[in-house]
Amino acid sequence: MENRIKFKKISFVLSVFAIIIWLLLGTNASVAWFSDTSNEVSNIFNVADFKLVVSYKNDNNQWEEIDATTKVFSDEALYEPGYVQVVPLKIENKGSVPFNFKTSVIINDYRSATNVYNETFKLQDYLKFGVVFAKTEAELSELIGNRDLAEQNAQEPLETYHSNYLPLEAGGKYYGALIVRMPKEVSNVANYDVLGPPKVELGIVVKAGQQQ
Amino acid sequence: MKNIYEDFFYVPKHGYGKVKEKVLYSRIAVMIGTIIICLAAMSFVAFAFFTHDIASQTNTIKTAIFDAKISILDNEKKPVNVIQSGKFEKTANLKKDIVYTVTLEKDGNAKTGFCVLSGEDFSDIYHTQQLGEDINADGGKRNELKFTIKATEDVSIVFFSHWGTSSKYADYENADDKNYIKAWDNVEITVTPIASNSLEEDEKTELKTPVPSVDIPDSEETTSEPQETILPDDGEEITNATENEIESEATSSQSSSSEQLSSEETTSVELKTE
Repeated sequence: MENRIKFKKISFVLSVFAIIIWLLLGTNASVAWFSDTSNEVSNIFNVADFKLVVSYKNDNNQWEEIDATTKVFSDEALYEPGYVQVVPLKIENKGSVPFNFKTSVIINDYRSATNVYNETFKLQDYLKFGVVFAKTEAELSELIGNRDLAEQNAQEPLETYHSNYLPLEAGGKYYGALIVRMPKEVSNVANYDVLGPPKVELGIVVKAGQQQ
Repeated sequence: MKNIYEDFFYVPKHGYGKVKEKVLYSRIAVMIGTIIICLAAMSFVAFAFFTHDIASQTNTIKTAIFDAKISILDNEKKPVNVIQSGKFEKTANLKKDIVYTVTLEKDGNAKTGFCVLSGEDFSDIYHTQQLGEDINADGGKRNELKFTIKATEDVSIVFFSHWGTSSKYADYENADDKNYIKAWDNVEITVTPIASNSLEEDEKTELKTPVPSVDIPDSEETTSEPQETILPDDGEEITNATENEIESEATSSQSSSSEQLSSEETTSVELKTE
């Protein structure tokens, strides 16, 4: 009971003291509550700009963007032993977010043929393939600058292929090259009968996905 | 609060009582409510994973084809029947002691290739120079190749078109390679009967299969005619001197048809059968 009276007295004193302080502050301080209203309010949500651009070097040695109507490999190319075809590529991130990209080569279709020994064969069994990447054009030239270098970098059999994902920062670019060749050692087993040439239909896809 | 908890959420520990029905219903209700809230949240929550693909049109990869046209003239400039005995394979029957002029002409859209000569009556296998692109040819290209053949016995020769570069091409500068036929070089080729081990490995792989049996269409059936003595117009018998004249006439007559022939000696190919 005595404690309760004692605490009541203390709290009363503190309250009075606080009121006195507040009153004293009023003589030298000002209190304001600012507010403002605006009739027009616009909330803008900016979506990240995600843009992949892939180009290849055409017959005029100019970079040309690839789209669904572009043929990267020349239709006039005729493969025979020792023939090498190289297509330089440029992959650019023209967006505002970094992404990872990969290159895929897909055999969409093929046609078998009969060779000079009356045997059926598939053209892709006698072709070699390779994909190389570099950060600059100069580095790419070191990889595919001449026939020997291109052949060294095209040792895989031609089949559906997916490269590893490579990171590409916003505004960055990568250079690459697709190499398809027929080795010099290919004998007459791929020299087809006049009844119809063998062929392989290749699809090239570059896929980019945002980094997580 | 305590009563609400005990009625709707309390699950007694194992062995200390049964779970009330209200507890089960309340749990089901909470689960359904959570699902409804999540579904409702989808209407005002946005999320995205950006991807971008670029695909080209389908690219066609195809091959070239190489073949060779063959024409053979005898010493009287008469054409010899060349039979299509297989795919890219042609056969000609040559008589002994007659100098034949063979002309090989590139056919097909391949840039280069060559011909392989072989036969059942002789063991050697001959490669010709490249037809088409050849950096060692005048102008880097050779679309036609001429040479002569002379057999010591009647012989059947198979000409097999082969694309690519001959394995003997590296011996281009090697004058001792008698099995590499060049244009109008002074080369003699001696043919011996086939021995079982005489073929080199690379020649075996290049041929891939033995010479197939001749499949002669009815319209191109060959006839085996008895040998006749060939007499010049004036009835004189052919002597060695006359043979040389005929040979030089046969070679000089080809100069007007294509590239100019040198005045040097022609390539003479002797085929001997034993």
